[in-house]
Amino acid sequence: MKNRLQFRLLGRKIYGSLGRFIAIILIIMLGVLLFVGIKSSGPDLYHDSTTFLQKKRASDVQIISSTGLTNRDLKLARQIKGAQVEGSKFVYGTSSQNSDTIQLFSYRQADRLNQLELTKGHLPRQNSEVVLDDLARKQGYALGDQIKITNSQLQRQQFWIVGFVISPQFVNKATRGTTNIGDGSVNYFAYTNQANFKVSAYSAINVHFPKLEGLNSYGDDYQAQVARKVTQLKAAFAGRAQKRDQEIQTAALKPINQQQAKINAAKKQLTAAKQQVSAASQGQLTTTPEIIAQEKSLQDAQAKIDAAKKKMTQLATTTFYYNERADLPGFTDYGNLADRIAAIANVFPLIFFLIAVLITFTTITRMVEEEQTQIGTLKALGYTRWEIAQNYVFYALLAAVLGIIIGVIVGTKTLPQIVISMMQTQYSYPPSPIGYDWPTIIIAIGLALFATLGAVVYVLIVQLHEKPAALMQPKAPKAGKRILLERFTTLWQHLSFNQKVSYRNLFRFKSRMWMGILGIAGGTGLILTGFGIRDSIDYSGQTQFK
Amino acid sequence: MTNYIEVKDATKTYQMGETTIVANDALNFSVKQGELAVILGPSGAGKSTILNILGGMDSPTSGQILIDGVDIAAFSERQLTAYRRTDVGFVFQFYNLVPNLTATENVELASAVAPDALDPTEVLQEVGLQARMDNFPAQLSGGEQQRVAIARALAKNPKLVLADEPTGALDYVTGKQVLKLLQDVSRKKGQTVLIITHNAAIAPMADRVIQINDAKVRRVIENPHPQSIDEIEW
Repeated sequence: MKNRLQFRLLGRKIYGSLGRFIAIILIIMLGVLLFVGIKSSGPDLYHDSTTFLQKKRASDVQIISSTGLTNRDLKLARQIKGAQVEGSKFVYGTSSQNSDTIQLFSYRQADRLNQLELTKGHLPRQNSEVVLDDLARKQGYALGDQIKITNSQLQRQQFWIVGFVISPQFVNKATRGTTNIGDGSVNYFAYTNQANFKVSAYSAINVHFPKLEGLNSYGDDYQAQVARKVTQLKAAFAGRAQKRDQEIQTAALKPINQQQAKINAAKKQLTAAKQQVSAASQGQLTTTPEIIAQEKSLQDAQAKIDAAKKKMTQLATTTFYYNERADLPGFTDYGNLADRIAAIANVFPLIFFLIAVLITFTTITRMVEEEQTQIGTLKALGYTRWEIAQNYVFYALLAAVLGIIIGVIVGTKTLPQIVISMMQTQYSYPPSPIGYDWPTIIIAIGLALFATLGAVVYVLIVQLHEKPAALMQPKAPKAGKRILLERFTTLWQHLSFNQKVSYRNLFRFKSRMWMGILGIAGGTGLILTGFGIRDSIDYSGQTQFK
Repeated sequence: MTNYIEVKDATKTYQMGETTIVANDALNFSVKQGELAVILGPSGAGKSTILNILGGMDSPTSGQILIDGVDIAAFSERQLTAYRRTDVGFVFQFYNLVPNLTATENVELASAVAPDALDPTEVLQEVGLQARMDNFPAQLSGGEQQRVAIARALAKNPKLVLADEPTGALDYVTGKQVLKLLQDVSRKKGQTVLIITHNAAIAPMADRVIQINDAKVRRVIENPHPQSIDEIEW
């Protein structure tokens, strides 16, 4: 019966002052919403990238060599435990349209790493087909168009555009990397069948570690682990550069040596011819003008061959480069942005939350104080402190829980979406379903409960400690006090009655004064920060280039 | 008859800033089991203070308060709560009903925590409110509200009923009804009843009148032939 009465009382209290109850829920909700929403945007952005890179099996390390890579290199890379290894070819070419610079990659249906995400059309099925960077679609390239990509290492130059794609290697829409042809920057990437490439050597080896999937590519943990893998790769490739040099020299020296043999044969013939001339003229002639001319041309040829040999040995110096994801064009910017948003979350919503806490605290304190007589009556009837407190604790708990639940759901489902959609104008990570950021939510719950439950407990401890007799008497009004301003008699005399009362009350109720000052200060601060951030962003560019 | 209440040298002082206010100055009196006692005195004499102390709502600064032989002045907070819960029924000058609860629920509020509680509906019938049981306090007149308050005090079936100026906010006729109820409690149920009043005219209804003035007990009058409230006019 006691509990039934308590619940009835609670229900009528809520219903009787629905406005106040809803106000507490709303302010808690707003605080939680902003805090959780902005704070979880950072992790959400990372989550988007992790999901996409995992799904597309983006390479963790790309090995690039100054002299190309062969199957022997692939084998070396495969020695690393848990590594998935694939070779990839690419060339830089100029498109006939707009003279755009295009990085053309090799495509094989069997490729598993750095998979492409189609936005339109289909992947290349025939050698005449090419898929183009999704960026190009917005620049006037269309499905079914013919495109001419000029590069001497390609079997063909004319391709049909059959699809548009996003690649995990190019996540930043602002940059496609650099090259040494055209104006130096790559405009688009493209993929066509590997059969179209003349060269047998690979341009890059993609290495992927399934074990690192699911780690945040921008996180320290991932970077440390990849660094370890790179060290292993370097160890596996130790001495490989010299061997590769020899391979190349042997291969390159073959035609030169053939030429040398020809020259040697020609030299022999000349020597024989000289001897014949000498024998025929009985020692009077050692040579003829023809022979001299022949010798001269032979000497020239020998010099050329020597130069070629020398050039070969000089050219063929192999260096391996180990590129991580962070070396991909525009990759790290994303992480910096996400970090910056998370940093904003540490300040902005926290101030808002503090104000929410302040408001809730005052509201609940006042509510309990208003019911001082009722608390006294219940005490007089013999209710224990906890029995009396229950009612208020449940009231606060209910308001807090409702506010928290709505705030967490709305905050998690809306704010990060807005941030992500803003990021999507620049980055090609597709949004992935958003999860709840529990550490943040727990902090928010703690703060919200402090504001509501904390206030109730604080006031109740003060109130319930009083004797019931004291509680039932109407509280004596706070004593009025003279204030400093009154010492300035001339000034004080010129104030109107209302002004005098206002100034006295300002100092009479100090807690209310501070509440007002802090509330207004916080609110003003937030608005000013908001405008300030906008202004700073707008004008920093202008200032920089003035 | 034994002394149910025995007040020995009860002193209560309040500290108000730098001045000390003596509300009760070494009070001494006793009330027998089943008696109807009236504490009579002008405003500010310290009547309410001693009643609050007797009801376990306040503690004396010094002295002893023996209720049924036990000194409640030495009680801890927890013991005082239990004492208020089981032994005391309180009637306040301004009724102090919970505005969000109906008449019945207000009575239930008290009976819910008392071990020997009476049925709230029956008690409300006894005070003549069977027709207003589902009304909220705001829908009741002052006299009806005070009767609910009395029902609330009685529903606990307490040994001691304390009434602080129960007619203070009521008109003559309604006031009489309320006093009659309290007199019946003492007469018919044998509960000890203490009524505070500044109205000397109602003193003849009591078995015992304790006159308090200026924080001190001035006189204790035993009245072997108390009058029924119906016979008293003022």
